[in-house]
Amino acid sequence: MLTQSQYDDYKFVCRLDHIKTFHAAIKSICFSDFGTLQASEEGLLITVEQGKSIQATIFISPSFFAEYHIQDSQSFSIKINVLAECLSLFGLADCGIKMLYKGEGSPLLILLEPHDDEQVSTECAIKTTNVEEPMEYELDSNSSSLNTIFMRGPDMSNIFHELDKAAEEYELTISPLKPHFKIATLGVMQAESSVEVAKSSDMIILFNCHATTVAQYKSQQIRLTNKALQVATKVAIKTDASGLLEMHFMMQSDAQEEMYVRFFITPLLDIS
Amino acid sequence: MKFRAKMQDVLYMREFQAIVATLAKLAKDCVMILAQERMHFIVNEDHSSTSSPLVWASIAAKDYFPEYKMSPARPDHEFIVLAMSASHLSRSLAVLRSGSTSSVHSCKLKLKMIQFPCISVIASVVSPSSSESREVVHDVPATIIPSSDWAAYVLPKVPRAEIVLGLPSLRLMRSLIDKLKNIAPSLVFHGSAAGELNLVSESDMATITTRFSRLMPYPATKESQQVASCEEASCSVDSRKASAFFGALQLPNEEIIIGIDREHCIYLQLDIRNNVVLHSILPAVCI
Amino acid sequence: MKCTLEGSNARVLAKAIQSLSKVGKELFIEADGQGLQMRTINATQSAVGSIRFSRAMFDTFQMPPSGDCYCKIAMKSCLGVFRNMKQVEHCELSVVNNSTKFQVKLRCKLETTKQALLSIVDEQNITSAVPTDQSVNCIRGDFKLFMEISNSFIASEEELTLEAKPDSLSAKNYIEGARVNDKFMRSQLKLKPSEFSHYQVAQEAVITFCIKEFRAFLLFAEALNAEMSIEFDDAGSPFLLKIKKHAEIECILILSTLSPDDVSFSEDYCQREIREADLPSVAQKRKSSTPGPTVQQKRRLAENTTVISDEDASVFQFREHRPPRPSEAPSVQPARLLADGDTVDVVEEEADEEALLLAVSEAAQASQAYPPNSTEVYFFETEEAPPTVLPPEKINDAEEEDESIPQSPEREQRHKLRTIFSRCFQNTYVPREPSPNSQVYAPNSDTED
Repeated sequence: MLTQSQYDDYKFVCRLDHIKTFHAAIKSICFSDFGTLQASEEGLLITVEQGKSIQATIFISPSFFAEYHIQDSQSFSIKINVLAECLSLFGLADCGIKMLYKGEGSPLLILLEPHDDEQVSTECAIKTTNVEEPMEYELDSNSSSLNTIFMRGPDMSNIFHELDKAAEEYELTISPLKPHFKIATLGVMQAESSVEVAKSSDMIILFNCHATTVAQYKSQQIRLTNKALQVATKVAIKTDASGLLEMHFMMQSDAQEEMYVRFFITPLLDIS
Repeated sequence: MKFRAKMQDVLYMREFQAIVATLAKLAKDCVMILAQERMHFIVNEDHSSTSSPLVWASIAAKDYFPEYKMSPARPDHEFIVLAMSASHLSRSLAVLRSGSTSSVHSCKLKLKMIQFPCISVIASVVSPSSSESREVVHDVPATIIPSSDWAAYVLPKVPRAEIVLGLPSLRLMRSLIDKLKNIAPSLVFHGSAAGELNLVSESDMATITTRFSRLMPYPATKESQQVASCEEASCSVDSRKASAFFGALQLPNEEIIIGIDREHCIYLQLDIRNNVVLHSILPAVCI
Repeated sequence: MKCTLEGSNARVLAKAIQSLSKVGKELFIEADGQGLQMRTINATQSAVGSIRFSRAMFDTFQMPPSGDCYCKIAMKSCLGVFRNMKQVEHCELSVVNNSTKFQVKLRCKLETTKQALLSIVDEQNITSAVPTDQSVNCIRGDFKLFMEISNSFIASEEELTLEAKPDSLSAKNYIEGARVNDKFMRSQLKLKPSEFSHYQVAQEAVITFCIKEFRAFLLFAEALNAEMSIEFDDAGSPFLLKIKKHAEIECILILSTLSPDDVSFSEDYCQREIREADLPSVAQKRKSSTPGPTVQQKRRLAENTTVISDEDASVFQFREHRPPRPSEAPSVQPARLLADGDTVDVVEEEADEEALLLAVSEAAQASQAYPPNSTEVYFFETEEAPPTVLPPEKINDAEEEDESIPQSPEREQRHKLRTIFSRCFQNTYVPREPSPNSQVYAPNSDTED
């Protein structure tokens, strides 16, 4: 095992005692081939994109890690599903994990040690490639139409889980008046359905809405958030008149440290 | 030609069921060889096309079956050899499974002729909803292999190995190999006489090395020509075959013995109990 | 029509829909003075299931001023609405938008409301004319017992055969004495009458029916934690499965059964021990396709349940009417039977001319004692049915029902057909796959070989 002095060779080293939350976060963004890792003093960002319409980013602050060492800022791309596969090597057994990176051109090293079997350890070397700059999306925080809802994760997950999967599009309505928060399914033969949540519902932690926003999204893209939603304790939904949808999924590890996954989903163009 | 056997002990019945269930996970068909003292099963005896490895089980018949009567077709014959669907056989024994809510008094196996030869599996079952026992019968169609063809169904021999290690944590191994098959088509087993086993999986995108240390070394069954290198041996095998074997195991045993015959094969042995052993051979592949 | 029910009752309703969805692709909903009834018919029209909820299940129950109300909706879309009911506190069902939509409103926990508008495909209903209270044999028991019978057979099993005797009941996946494929595993479970709460078998019977629909209703019995009874006469006549929960829920599943004429029997297919001393070599294996003992009596094999196009011979019949609605709610009859055709038809106000025309023909039909406004399903005793001729496109269906029964003798009745392999159509011919082993059990009597 590496000692403190050996870290000198590495530009980036981090360690987690429990793999579970990190693994769940990585799995929740595995919808594209490559992911970009950006490590800095502020923490670790892992970004995955599909086309120019959906982006997911994991935010992990340095305090989430048991150890976190960084020289300059480091960024590189890896195959995200290979990373997910490596993290799942020991199945449900709890592992400690250490990630090490020597700098441009070197592989990302991952060391896994199952807690319940000291005789076993794994070392994965994952090839890295040059970074592809992720797209920048932003909601105008000064916009008068910016609507924000905070919800309890499991309740939100139930609602999304029950949406008709046959629907091609979902329409999200956020309004200061009834129905407050509504999701309608569009494009299903012989059935139209919708679900509404009143702003006074206990599942809504915060409801901040001044003007009604309505936008349609590809249901398939909304469903890409499912895995993040399933493990999220809290969810934030933000949108404005442009229809760009920003969702934050807060994931808590057993030690109560927080990790965030943020999704940006662009709306379908209003053809009418 | 006659065969009948009867089990009565719950634990033995469950163990027998687990062995057959393991075989059913590995192959569509199995060969049952009935001898006077032992009962053998072989799956994938022609280990060519499938992604499953050659596996065979040998059972001391009297351990499982207090009643065991086998009369071959001719007095000079040693065996009755039958081929049948492994999944049918497994399903016919499913009622003996440990998780099952019904309790089983006894289970008989009989060779019968209906429209074609069958192994009738007759279980006497007491269900939770009723106090009386019921008879559940399954007739597993079987093909009788004539003695002229027996040469093709000889029990495989345990290969000799340069390094033999006992591996205690089967649970982690199973999950690991299952994931490694998605990384690369081949998997290297590298063992040392010092009790270390490394599993190496390599692809364009990643290299994954897993180390099992402090394993129990067994005496080698084959001396290497080069005495110096006898400390170590490695062999690369089809990762899907390895995964199929570990994934199929339905037996609760924790320890498995791994023998490495350099560049030849990996040999796996699960000792279910004295005289009841499950074996497998994974042939070497070129990397 | 508009009715409301409270959460736990709505969950029962959802379970009912889930069970019915395993039978048919369309859901027929009917509301009348007595309550709500949901029915479905399977694709081969060998099974009709019906689940009735009494008015007592509902908080409010409003009928349209015009009387009773029925509609047909797609099962799949309906199933989607009733999939997850855990959070539901209150449910409202109504027919809206000028009878074009079936609306479901679910008020859930945490101030959540779900709403769905399902298109009404047709204003159509089905009824069955099978007498449901005259079976000679009746067996009743806890759903768990029937569950154990069902679980003894694999999920992909298509048919279940019950051998009922006064002192024993055997459940099998094959018919004793009938030929099975040599890869087929026969399974059987032997039960004693004492395991059932009621066991009345006055007339020994061996009946074979589709297990899929049986399981669908068994699932509902489990949801209700209820007893279940099966009623039947003999092979070829309908098999009934009934579930009753207090006075509120009544279910009946009518399954057609395989006619004994459709099965070939042979002594050869009964069990015996292997005695043959030695085995000939493998080479002979390939040739053993010669017929074995020719004891078969191969007879007509109309799979009665799948025949629908020939009016006289079919078991179930469909008769569709564009429905003008009856002016009054039907009286107290629990099921709309064949003889129930005496309701007076009055055209609804909004109905157009076409409906009026239809109403005329409707009235004409009604005088022939067909109930109006519904697609009827008639059940004939097979014995009374004239000989069946399978329409060619139905042959495949029949094959699916039981692949081990050869189809060939059926064609004999189609006189205009030129026979090509005439020997195949002789009733002594038994097609056989190559025997699985190399033994020849009977000396070869065919001179051709």
